[in-house]
Amino acid sequence: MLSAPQPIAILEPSPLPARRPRAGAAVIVRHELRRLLGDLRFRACSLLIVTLFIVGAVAAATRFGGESRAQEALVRDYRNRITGVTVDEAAEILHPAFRPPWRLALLVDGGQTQSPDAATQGLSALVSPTLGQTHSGNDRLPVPQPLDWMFVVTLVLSMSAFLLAYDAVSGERQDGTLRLLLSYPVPRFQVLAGKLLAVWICLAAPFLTGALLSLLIGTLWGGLRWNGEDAAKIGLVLLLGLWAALFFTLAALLVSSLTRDPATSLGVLALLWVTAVVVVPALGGLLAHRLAPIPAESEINQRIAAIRAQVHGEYGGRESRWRGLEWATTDDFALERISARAENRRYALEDATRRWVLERKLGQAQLAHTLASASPAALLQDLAERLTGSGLWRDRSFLGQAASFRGTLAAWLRALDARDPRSPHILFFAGYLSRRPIDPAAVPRFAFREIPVRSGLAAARPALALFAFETLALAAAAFYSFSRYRP
Amino acid sequence: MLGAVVRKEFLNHVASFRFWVVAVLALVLAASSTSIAARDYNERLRGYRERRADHERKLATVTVYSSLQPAALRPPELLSILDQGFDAQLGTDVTIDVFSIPTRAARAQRGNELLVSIPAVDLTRIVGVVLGLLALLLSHDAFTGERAAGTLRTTFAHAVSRRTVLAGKILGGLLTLALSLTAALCASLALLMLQTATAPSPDQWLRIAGLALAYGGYLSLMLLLGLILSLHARSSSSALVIAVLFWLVAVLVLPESARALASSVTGTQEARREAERAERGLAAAYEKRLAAELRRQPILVTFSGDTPVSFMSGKHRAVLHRFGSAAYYAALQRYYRFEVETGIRSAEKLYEIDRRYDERLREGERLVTVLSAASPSFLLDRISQSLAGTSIAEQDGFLASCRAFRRTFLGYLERRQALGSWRWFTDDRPEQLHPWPEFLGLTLDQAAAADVSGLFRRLTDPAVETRVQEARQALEQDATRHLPLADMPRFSYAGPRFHAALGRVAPEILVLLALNALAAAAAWLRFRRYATV
Repeated sequence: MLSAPQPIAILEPSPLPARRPRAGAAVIVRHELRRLLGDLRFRACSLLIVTLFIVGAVAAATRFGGESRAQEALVRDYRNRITGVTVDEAAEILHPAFRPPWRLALLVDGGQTQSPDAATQGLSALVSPTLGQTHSGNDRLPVPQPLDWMFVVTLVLSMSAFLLAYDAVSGERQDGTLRLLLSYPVPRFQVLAGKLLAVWICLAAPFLTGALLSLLIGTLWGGLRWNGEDAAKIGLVLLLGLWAALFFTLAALLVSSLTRDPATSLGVLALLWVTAVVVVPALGGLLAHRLAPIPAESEINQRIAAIRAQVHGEYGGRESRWRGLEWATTDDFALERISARAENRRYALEDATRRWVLERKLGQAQLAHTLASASPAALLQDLAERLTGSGLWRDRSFLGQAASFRGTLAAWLRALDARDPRSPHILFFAGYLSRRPIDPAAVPRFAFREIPVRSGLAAARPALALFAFETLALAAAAFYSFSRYRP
Repeated sequence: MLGAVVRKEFLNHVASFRFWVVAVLALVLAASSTSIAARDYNERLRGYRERRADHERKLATVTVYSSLQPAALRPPELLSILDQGFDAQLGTDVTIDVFSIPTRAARAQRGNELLVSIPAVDLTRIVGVVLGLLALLLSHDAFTGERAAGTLRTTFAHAVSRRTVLAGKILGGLLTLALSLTAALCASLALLMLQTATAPSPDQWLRIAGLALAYGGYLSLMLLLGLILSLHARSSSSALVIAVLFWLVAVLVLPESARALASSVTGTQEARREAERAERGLAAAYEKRLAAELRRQPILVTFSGDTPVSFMSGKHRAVLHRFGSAAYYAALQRYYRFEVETGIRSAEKLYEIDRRYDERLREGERLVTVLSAASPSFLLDRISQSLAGTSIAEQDGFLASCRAFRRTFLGYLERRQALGSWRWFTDDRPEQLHPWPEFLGLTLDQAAAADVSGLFRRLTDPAVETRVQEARQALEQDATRHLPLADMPRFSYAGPRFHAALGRVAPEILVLLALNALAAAAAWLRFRRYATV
């Protein structure tokens, strides 16, 4: 017959700790583990963590499938559009650059399902580029927060750490067991290390289980495929999650050894949690709105109007003369060349304005992240985004790559046009270019390059250093205050 | 006696550290989020006014009925500052025309599309998350704490009835929460009025009062839940563990998971593609019928001296022909009458497709409602969005009034006999037609005899071109050609109304009240037999 676990039995005086103090921590860990594993808190937290991993994986995998199909349909549309067109017509077609669905959205979504992922641009200055989304969700629902691994880490794992460890010191003091525990010849730092390790194991187990299930759901059910780079990023996020569990446990132990009774410990921890997870990130966002406002629409419109007026002034009203070929050939397209120069100049100036607006938006988002990083929860989110090359980093990279894609397209079409001696070579205006057909297979395709893990690590270095410092400071404070704790 | 218990509870709470921390956090957050939202509101209001004035200016210079496309604009809602709801993600502008029935509004007002990973906060979220936690923090140790300290026995020893003690605890907690809520709400309202320089209308005041009551109802539910936990728990800390877990799951995790699951699981992408395919098919069939109709009128497809040389087309099939002949215009009239008649029918078919797609989206909405019905903060969201006028139902109401306006507008066009008239497509006066050969000093018959394309090329001779330009400019500047619009119906949108808003969320309000009553009853049943040691 199995006997019920008797936690107190572990505490019965045994000669081992006295002789081999190194084993002290192990005894504490075993004792704490028994205490925690039998507790309702552990079961509730584990259940919550694993459930969220599963729900998040199902949601992310389904969304990934939907996004991929939406983009495939758009790519097919584009192929149909460029089949059978001439060089001349290709100049006015909107060429899309799609950012592929984020393979690691399961881990770190980073807002990738909401930020613009389709940049279309024409080569003709008369065609305005667009920046939009290929995938639109259900707009009868509020925009959901992604249920990714980082959601679990920052919201649930942190709270679980607090719930499991808040009474590790103050609770034992209240029950009177702390006095007994400290009466054994085990150094205090080993006692705390044992508690730390036990809680950490109780967090790491459901976290790793959930992560494994999430990956399995992603590959087997959702059909996600990862390459070596992705695997490295997954490993990094796993390590980050485990580190975060350690960090939150240290915070809980510190608070527990600063307070006298467990209810106060948990009250303080709940306040800290709501400050770190809800208040500080929100304030960061609000402050960024105030400190780095993005240009209002009226301001942008004014700038565009000013550019048009400027170009009009520079070209004295001769900038929009487009004649039929039979008339234009009489003076070798003299008027059209002027018009083309004016339009290209206007496009360049407007493009600079668009880039300026985007830079301001990126700057504001960056500032919001930086300010929010005052909270460890937001810092962790930022770290995960940097390590995996998600979030703002991926947005920025996409916008840059899409902008240079227009250059690639322009070089390709210019070369095609140059081969045709009958073309007036007025780049890139439909009606004044080569009329030869293009080969649809030779049209440059936009291929997005994800941020490699190496540059992700480099970008994460300052944030990693900050988080390491915070962890060390927390550990030092926790061990110091426990060493002075009066049982 | 009740007064004394309430006072004691209130003073105890107000003297506590946790109350001040949370109250100050809530106040700071409320003030800063309101101030940002108020600035955003001002910006939106300016944009709305500019766009409206712009539309009015454009309408005043319209010369043909096909270009008469009034805009229906949704003004920004003042109370969106307190609860932004769907305002940030749904559009505001609808163009009314003959060929489509509005089901979506354009121009969603998202500020920074790259700042998405940090969720926005408004007063409702602050109340739901931060003050909701405060309610639980205040009440979780109401009984466990006093039992441990032994003060509960002493209280009963003073012949205070259990009912008084429970009522005192509830009222004392509510009073404390009301203090913090009032501070946050007053700060928000003051900033709102200062920054927007507008005072809310009486109806808006009513809705603000409704909001305050909804916040109160939510907080009292959280307080009662905390009390129930305190009555069942062995110690304050175990009560708090359950309270915090409940708060985490009910307020943050459950609504988010429900949304994430519903928005990715209900196949809106497929439904959307399906709808788009059906719409494309319909549009192609319509274009084919139009092309066939065009071919039935030979004069319209061959270039001749009758053909109008000035042609402009705009959005939603707006057209303007100039310098054509009477014969050509008579044929055009038949063609456009056909286009309009079939266009109205095709618009209804398109609307049917849109409605079916919308039904799919509503399924997702219902799924979220079912999944997150257990969350008090979800109830609060629904009620406060409706009262603030930023709910999805309010947007539906706006679109419905756009559709009603379209019907009125069609009636107006019919009354003016605009739909099949020359004035649909040209502002040339029937008695003063000026076909293009006249610029070359030729009559229509002379032009018909000559080589038409040779003649047409002569239009670009500098001398003739100047004459054409002058004639064009004269037309542009001729204000008598503008359509008389004095009796045109104008779009008006009443905006959210207190009674309507209340009616829409009556079920949610009833559920919230019922939950409060249930929680109070459960607390009382348990407290009647509560052992004081």
